[in-house]
Amino acid sequence: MRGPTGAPADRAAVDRAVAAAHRDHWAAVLAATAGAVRDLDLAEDATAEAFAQALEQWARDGVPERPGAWLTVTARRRALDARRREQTLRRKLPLLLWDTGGGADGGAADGGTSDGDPRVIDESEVVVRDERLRLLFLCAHPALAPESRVALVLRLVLGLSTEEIAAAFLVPVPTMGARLTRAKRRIALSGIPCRVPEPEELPGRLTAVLDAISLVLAAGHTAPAGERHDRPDLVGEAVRLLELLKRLLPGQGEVHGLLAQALLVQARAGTRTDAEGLPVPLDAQDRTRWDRSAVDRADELVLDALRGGHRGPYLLQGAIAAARCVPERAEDVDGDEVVELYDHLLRHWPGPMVQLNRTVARARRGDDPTLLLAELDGVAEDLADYRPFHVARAELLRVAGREEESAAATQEALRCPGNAAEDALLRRGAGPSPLP
Amino acid sequence: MPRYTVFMYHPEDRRTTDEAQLAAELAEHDTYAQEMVAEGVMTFGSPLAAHTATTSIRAGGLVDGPYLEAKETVVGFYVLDVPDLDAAIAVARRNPILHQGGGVEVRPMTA
Repeated sequence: MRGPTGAPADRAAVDRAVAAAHRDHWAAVLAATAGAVRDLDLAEDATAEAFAQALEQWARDGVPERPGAWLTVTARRRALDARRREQTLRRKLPLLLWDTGGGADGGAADGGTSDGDPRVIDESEVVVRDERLRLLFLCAHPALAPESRVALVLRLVLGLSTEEIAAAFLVPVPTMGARLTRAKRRIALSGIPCRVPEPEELPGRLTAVLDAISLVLAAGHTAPAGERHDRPDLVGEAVRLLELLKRLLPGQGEVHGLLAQALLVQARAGTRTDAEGLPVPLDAQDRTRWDRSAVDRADELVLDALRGGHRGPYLLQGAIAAARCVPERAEDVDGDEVVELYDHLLRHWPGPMVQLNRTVARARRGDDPTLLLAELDGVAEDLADYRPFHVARAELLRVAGREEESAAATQEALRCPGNAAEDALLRRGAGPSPLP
Repeated sequence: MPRYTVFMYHPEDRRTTDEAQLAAELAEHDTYAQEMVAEGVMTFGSPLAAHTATTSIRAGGLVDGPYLEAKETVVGFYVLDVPDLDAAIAVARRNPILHQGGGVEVRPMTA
């Protein structure tokens, strides 16, 4: 399949090559095409067509030596052709604003729309890098609704289909389709530029990107509804996005932190649910079946960022996850260290979720349940519809010997949205502590 | 170059009556407007008289008052000439009304 162009390849090898190219090059191809025609819809269609054409043409002529370059040239040509054909029909929307970087008049002039633009043909590493990064920042722009940001990231950066994205967030396909269309229209109409933020804007803009990716990770970690408890495919997508972001934007502590969290979820795949598909709390999981090299890598990512002087909410949560996963036996986890990390998190980035997680960490350490229940009261209003809050309350009430109230709290937990595997575990009542 | 109108909103009933305070607030707006002119990003702008001075016209005739009743009303606007939404937001974010109890709305102008 690596053979020179001209040698026909067998069907399965071509399918594999196209699938691999889709995984590795979708974002770069789409970004380069969008840069050429300044139209996300057109670029998206042309990119999809280029991949379809690859299936045919690579079977006939062999897989090209540089699939990414082949796809970029093909998609760009298709998009430019379509632009010429539809010139008079289309242009209902303003062009995508493609800042050519740094200049005070950024976005005005650009050589990227000419057919002879050599940057794309050469697929120079620097150019490709920039295009993908700016696409990611565009998708997660703070002027877009948060749910649109996640959908756009999955669609435009990872190349997931509307059906796949709808399935990930358990919304009907037409709803997701409409959401994506609305978001792309908003980008064009509001003049949201496709550009890499200036250094002074970077922290806030990076947080928006990480927030979007963390929603993907959260949906993969604990499915918000449906039959299954977890969605390893979505965890995998979050890891892919974060690996990409880390390559494109090295040295960011927050990226390290969220990537570490994602790797630690991925490393535990297969041990997070039992034979019946019911969730197994972290401390009860079989650590001998974890992917140790992934755990070590996550630990290293966190340590590296902390040593570099970085501090941030995603990094600290990564540090907490590492502190809980690195020891080879659950009983060797340093509960005090975990609580201290939560103290730090709460001091600098307070919020009801952090408060809840800190209380749960203290519960795992065996602190006085009555005291912890009082702590929970403080966030009861904010987290009234959040299942893990009621699960934690039920567990603390049980430990405190208040069985009836504990059962009532479990009923409250079941009333909150959650997946069927959790429902089953909660209904069963007995068993290992359901604290995550 | 895309153009944006920045609408400035403020709760009508919470405007300060303290003369010195008011003068200080207006001075901030003057400075801000001068900065935008110097930066070449603002083509036009104006404060608006109190919304009680508004006359609205509907098919049924004249109405003494605003078109829409709201607690927060438009008290002024700027037209910006900038490359994109990010640039418009960067300018609008510095609007003094943001720390005077009001807010702004950044809206693209078509064509």
